[in-house]
Amino acid sequence: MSPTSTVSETELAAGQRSGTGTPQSPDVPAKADPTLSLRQLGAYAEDAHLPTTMSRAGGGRRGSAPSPTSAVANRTERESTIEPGSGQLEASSRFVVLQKWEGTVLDSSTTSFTARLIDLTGERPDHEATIRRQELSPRDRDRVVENALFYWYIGYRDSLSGERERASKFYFRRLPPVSDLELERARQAAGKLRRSLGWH
Amino acid sequence: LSELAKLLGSCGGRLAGTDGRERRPSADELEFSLLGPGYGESAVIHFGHGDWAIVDSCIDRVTRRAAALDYLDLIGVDPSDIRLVVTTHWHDDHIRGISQVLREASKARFVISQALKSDEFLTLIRLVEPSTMVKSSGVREFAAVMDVLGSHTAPTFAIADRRIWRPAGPVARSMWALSPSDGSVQRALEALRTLVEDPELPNRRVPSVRPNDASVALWCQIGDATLLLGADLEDTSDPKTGWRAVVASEEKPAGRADVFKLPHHGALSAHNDDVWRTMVDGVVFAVLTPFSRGATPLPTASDVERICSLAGRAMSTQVKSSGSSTGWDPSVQAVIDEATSSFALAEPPVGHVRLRRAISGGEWSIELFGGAAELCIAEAA
Repeated sequence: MSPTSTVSETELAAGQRSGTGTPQSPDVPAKADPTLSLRQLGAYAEDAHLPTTMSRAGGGRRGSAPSPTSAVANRTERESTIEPGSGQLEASSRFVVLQKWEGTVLDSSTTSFTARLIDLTGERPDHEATIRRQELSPRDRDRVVENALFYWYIGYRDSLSGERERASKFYFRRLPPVSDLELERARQAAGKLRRSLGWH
Repeated sequence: LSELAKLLGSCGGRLAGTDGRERRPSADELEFSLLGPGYGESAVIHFGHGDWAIVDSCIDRVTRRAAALDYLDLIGVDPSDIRLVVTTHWHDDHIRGISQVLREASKARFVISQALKSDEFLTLIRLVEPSTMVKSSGVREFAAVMDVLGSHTAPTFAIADRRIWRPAGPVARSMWALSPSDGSVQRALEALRTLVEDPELPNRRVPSVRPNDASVALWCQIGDATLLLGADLEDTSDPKTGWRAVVASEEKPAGRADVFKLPHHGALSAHNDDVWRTMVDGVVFAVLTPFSRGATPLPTASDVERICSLAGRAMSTQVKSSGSSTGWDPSVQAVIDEATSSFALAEPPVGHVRLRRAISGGEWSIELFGGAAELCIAEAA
């Protein structure tokens, strides 16, 4: 079943994969990866693998970057598009992560992109994959440029009604530009490094 | 790589095994070894008398260790015998595992490009390193290098026409940097400045600075044998940068190389006629590592044709494909099958081209291991 023929844009925006979403038996064994709510999954991508907006220095931003709080708010808002009533969703919908990769876009075409995938679940060697663009949410498709960083999660989505389906979620990095403050701190740290190495 | 393998198949190229790889060279035997899995490059050089050098680093996908260290372990060389560690530039495919090499080769002199001494590069490291989780980032690896350097001897900065090593001994041995030129360093600094200012920097793997004209090309003299290691140095239209600056230099060491590690995986962008005409021997052994990443692997078929028309013999460290991927959880495999049109291991195992010769002279022996192959068998026959 083609995902584009059956999956709404709203579902795609949430990375839901009804195309592979044949409900699974609850006793399908899941690895010992964390079981996460969808909100936590978003936070996981940010907190475990990305520098959190919260921890980035604020003030003096050179770009039109969202504030730390708005970044979190945006994420919540995005998740609320998955299903109405995200409060219930947060409490009862879970994403069981089976596999996660860090990806770098190597090149792309109109229908797909090639990426290098680094295993974040175990110690498997790097892989190279050509991924169909239709797997991405519409908002992520314009992020597919050379060297763009993303995270790919595969797992199970346990729904409110008790059904389980396979799911796949892509997160492309959307961090604000480096702030003037961060740049200044990096320059100071570079100077300190230079002195500590005795480079004159 | 599969295209390269097909090409070799069509012209009778041969693959090699691993027999005898563990044999250590004698004290009076020089060695040039090039290791490469298809994405990555590392050269190991025996200057004779137990003095070894490592130029750049790549990782073995199985051992997850620097391929050069694995190899030296195999032939029984202690890391304390590594005299020189050179990083020609900071791109991912030349630097992975170099911090590991430096950590083990604690007595080695560390050589890096003059361009990396800059405030711009150190700022980039400090800007990117704390926030990146990109395991493959060359910048991240360099940040690890900086940590090691805290307890290491001060590095030697390479710039064009600088002799960076000359050990004492009865045989003339030396290593020279042929690049980067002053012009190339200046261009690299400008590129680094642009990179630091890029608003998308936090969302990208730090891209390669092109052209690669701040790379450190090397000239190694061991007795009457000469090795030219081209790093990723590219040709430019500016006579003050890249290979043109090397060719134009009147300060570089004289002579013609017996062995040429081809720059930038044999790509046309790194080709310079005058290098072949004036700096290498007519029957030079040309050796390269392929670049199998993305949609434009190197060398291309036309690159191979050009190289074979110029070199006495030419070898690639790897021509095998990387192989399929198996053993996934069935649910993960199902998603992979649906979401991707291809999904494979990114790299084949490390291949190895080894050239040895008595320092006093004589014939070179050429050995190919683990997927390495002749590029142009007709010329070799």
